[in-house]
Amino acid sequence: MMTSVFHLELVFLVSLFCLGFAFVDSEDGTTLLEIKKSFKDVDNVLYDWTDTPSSDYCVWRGVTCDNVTFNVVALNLSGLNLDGEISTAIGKLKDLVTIDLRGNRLSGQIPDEIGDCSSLKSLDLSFNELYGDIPFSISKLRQLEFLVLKNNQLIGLIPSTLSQIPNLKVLDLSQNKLSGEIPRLIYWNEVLQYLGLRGNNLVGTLSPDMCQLTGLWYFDVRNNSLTGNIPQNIGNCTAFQVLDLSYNQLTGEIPFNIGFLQVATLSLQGNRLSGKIPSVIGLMQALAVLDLSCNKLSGPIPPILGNLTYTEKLYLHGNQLTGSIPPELGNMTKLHYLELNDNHLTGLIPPELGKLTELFDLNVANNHLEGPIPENLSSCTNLNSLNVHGNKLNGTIPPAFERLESMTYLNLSSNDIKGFIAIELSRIGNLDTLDISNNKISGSIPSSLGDLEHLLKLNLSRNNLTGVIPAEFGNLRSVLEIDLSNNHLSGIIPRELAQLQDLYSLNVSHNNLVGDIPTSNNFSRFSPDSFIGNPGLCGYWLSSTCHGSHPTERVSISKAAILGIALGALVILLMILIAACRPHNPTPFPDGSLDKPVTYSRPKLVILHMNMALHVYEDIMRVTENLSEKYIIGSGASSTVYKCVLKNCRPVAIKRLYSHYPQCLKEFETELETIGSIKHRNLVSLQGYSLSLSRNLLFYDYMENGSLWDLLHGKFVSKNKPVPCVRICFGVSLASLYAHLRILSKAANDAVMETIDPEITATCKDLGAVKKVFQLALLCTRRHPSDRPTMHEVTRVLGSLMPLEPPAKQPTTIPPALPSTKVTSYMDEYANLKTPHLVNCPSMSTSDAQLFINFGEVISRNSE
Amino acid sequence: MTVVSIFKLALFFTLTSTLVTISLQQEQPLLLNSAEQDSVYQVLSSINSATNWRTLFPDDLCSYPPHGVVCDYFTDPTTKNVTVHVTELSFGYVSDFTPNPSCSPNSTFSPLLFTSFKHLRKLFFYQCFTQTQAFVPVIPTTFGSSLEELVFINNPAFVGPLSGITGNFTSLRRLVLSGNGIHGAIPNAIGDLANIEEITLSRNKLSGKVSVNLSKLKKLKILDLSGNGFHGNVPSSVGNLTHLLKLDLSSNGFSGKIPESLSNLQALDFLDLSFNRFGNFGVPLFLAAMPRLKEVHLSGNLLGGEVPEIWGNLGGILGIGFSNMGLVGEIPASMGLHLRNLCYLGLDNNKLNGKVPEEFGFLEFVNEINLENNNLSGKLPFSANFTAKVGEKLRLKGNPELCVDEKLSHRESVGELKKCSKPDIPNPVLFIGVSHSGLLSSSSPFLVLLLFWGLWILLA
Repeated sequence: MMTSVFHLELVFLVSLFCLGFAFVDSEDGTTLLEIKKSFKDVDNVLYDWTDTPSSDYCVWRGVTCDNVTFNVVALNLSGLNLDGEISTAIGKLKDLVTIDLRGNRLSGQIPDEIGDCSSLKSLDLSFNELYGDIPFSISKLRQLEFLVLKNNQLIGLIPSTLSQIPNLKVLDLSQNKLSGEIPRLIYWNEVLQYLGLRGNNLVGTLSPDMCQLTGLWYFDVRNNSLTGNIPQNIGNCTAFQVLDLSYNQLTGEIPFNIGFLQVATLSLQGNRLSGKIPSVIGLMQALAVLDLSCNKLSGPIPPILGNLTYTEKLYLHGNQLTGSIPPELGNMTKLHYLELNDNHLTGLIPPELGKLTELFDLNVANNHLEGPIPENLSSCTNLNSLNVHGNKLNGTIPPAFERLESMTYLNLSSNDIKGFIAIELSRIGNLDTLDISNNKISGSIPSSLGDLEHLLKLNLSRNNLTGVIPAEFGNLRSVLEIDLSNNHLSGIIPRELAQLQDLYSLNVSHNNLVGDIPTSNNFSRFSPDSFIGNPGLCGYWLSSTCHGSHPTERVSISKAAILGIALGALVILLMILIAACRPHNPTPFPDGSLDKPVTYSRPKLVILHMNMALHVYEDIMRVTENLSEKYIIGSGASSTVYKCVLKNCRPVAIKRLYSHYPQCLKEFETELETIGSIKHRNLVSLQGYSLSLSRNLLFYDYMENGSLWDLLHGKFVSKNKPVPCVRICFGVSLASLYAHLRILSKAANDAVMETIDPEITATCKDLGAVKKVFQLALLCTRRHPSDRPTMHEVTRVLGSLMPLEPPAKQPTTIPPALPSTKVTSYMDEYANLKTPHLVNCPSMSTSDAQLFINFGEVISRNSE
Repeated sequence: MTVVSIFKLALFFTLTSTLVTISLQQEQPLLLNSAEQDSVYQVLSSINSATNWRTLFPDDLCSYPPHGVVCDYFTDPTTKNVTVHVTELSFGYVSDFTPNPSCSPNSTFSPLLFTSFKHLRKLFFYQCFTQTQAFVPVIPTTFGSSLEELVFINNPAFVGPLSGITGNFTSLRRLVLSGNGIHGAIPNAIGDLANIEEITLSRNKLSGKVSVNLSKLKKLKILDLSGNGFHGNVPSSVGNLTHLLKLDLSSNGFSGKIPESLSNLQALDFLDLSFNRFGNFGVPLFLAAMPRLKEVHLSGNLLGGEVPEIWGNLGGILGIGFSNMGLVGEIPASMGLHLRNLCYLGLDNNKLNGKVPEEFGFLEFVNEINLENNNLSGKLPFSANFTAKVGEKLRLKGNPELCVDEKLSHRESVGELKKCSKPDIPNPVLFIGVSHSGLLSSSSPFLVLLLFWGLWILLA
């Protein structure tokens, strides 16, 4: 047994030596240097691309060679901050299969010579500053499957010759400046899967031929200038899963046979579509997102839409829809967003909407709705935002709204609501906006409104409120705007208001307030406009009523003089009034009819991989109840981890970092993006992150089998069979090393990364270093989070292992199939909506196990 | 009003009928009959025997199919019995969104495909037969009346005569056999596929003369025979394909004259006849009558003659490939005048002489101009802005008499040209004399006519 292991090791070492000394002369090195010459290598990331005779181009950064011919097969220089241009010499690398220059700052044109790289399968030049046209020569690339040129400055037309590429699967030209028509022949590419043309200046009409694309799942022409109708045969595009025609100038009606589509996302918003909403849309059971907003659609909302029980987002706002809101919409049990605002809807708000327990956002503002606000809405316990502004609703504010604990935005303004302000409103503790202005609400302001400590905006203006301003408003610590104007409030302005440091807009004008306006704490920042129309109010500005109140010493003033003074005062008062009112008119107070005009910044959610793309920060917070403790699945040295199960999406693990705001946010972000760009089968990939003042969150794929420690220490119970422990250790430690080294290599530019990862190469010249690295990896798997080394320590240790000079000649061995793996998993804008029937589970290959035995041997021998 | 109500009625009917069928299916799910189910398993294992398909997909293959297997319901018109049958079979992994069953290197072509699936509408093979040769089986005459799409892409080991695959497929809309090992001539039966919209036979080993009568293929939009070994004349019946969008006959051995009848292809977008052996008949003048043309490629045919003056109605053209055609004479200035949408112009490797038309410099979209290896002369008439815009893609080398202005000579793309010797104050008399002698020496009455025509235009 022992000998066989030793034999294996010997074989391994011998093969290493063989590889190390193999050297084949080729022109490719010279060509690469020529390519380097036209890059402006700002950060000197290509420093190992040198023409010293000992330097083998196959180990240069980003270069991958064929292991037999030693020709360059892949060039991966993405995200290296390269400047300059792509050299025409690239055409000399005839064996190139993959070119990835994504995310640099390359300018200049795409060289014609790229058409000479006849083996090219994948060309990704996205996120650069390339200009000029798409070279006609690209059509010579008969093997090309993956052409991604998005986010550049490309001009000109889309050449019809792209249809000559028989294997083209992904064509993404979005966010350029391409003009002209979409070539009709592109629709005859047999295996095209993904067509992204969003954000260009394309004109012309949509051809009926688009349904010839029998394999296409993603069709996106958003934000162009397309005209004409949606093709009548659109229903034949049966493979489509995402159809995004939004923000064009499409006219005509939505074709009847659109109902045959099996899309998950149908985005037609921002066009000029007219006519009715076809009832057949109610049969599109797969719809997750239906957006018909901002068109000229008329007629009623078809009640059959209630059949869409899987739909999460229904946007019909900004049309000319009439009739009432169908009660059937209450059957759309998965609905999160229901936006019906800015239409001509009449009738009642159906109480059935109360069945939408998942509803997050309900907006029916600016319609002609009547009747009361149904009490049943209080069963929508996930409701975060409710906007009924600008209708003719009457009745009172339902006290049951106190159950809407997650609600942050409540806008009932500009209706005919009567009655008192229900004291229960003050129990909606998460409210940040409360707007009940312009109604007929009477009574006094409940002092408990002061309990709404998260309130940012409070608008009670233009009602019939009486009584005093509650001193408890002083507890509204974060409030930014308070408007109590045009009521019948009396009493004084409570001094406590002066404690509100963040308050930048206060309006108590046109009430019956009396007394002095507080002067403490910079209260004078509010202009006189905030206080006018209160005859009894004394201000700190000139001409305020009480400033002239010198004790009347002389009584002997003639009646004429009194009349003159009175008249003069009246004139002055009038002038002030005019002056005060004039600037008020052109800038009316935003009444929040559309989106929330909240001025504080929401945390930014940055999505790195697209599994989360359908979701927004709010969704995640909602599902985890603002990161409630019950979702905690573990904690580490620097963070707590939560689990979040999102709709239509694999579950994510949320890692909340303990350390607050990093010193340099930008740097931290860059680092995150580096981690995010790593894809390794043993590494949980970072899906996205969100950084804000309050918390820094990282989003990872959720792994079903618990933590690494659990795995190593036998907690792991598999449904099928226990995984041999050693394999896990080995795979995981290598993965963590891979991650660490990857980060490190960004700074140190070394090829050690490639030498460690067995997937890339099995060559490793210094076994001592390997031992240390492996021990370090084991440290990373300690029971207690505090025992584990921090990322900083890891990088330091690894840094000390780095050889100072570039490693000697070592032809790297790469299975030629590797570069193409990326080709097949291109999902960018949208999440993978389909559950693949065959889950591709990569299992550990025998060579990996063999390697482990070798490594384990060495370590045990050395530690004795 | 009545139309609307009828429409409403129809809508109501479809809705209810769909609901009824849904509820019907829920009551008693229709199962694929065991013989057909078994055939699917057999076909799957012929494609990839390493996978145990019966254990992976043990249930009814219409209810729980692998990707690539599609079924549909059929109602017997007399008995009203509803049955379910396989209608689509697709093999070969394309992407994560079209994860058809992947093929093993030694996959074989099961004859069951042409016998067991009477209702098959689509048969699709992508990169399936790559190593072990798979042969086209004999197709029984009873098969194929419902087949609409027959697609074989990149199956280099799929061999056999074309006549073997094109059976009695009267419903065929799409025949795509691209990058396979199919040989033989085009059988005459193809001329009877009255419903066909696409015939793509590119990159095979087809040969022989194309003598089939294509007149009946009124719906054909795509005809692509490129990359084969066809020879002889292009049949003039191609001209009857009035809905054709794309005609690609490139990289074959077609010879003779390009048929005049092509001028009837009024919808044609894309014409590629490059790399054939068409004879010395000049650039076809009928192009002038094809106003929808976007791209025309005739490179690699020694058509000879001059670049004709046919561009008046061809303002939609984006790309012209006229390389290596033995063209002589001057480049007509009218090209620059009329081809307002031109992006790509290849006139390289000809024997063109005279000046580069100044008009090219005003083309708004042009991004690539290749005039390499001609006998062009005189001064490059382009502005610095224009040369900057086109950049490296203005190719002019191999024109020894062409020179470039001092100001432009630092541009990389034109840097190889010699600098124009200071024209000082040119002697007008001498200049006229030279140009006259040039005209006379070429002794082309056509050119003189052209000059007059040009003058007339200028005056008018």
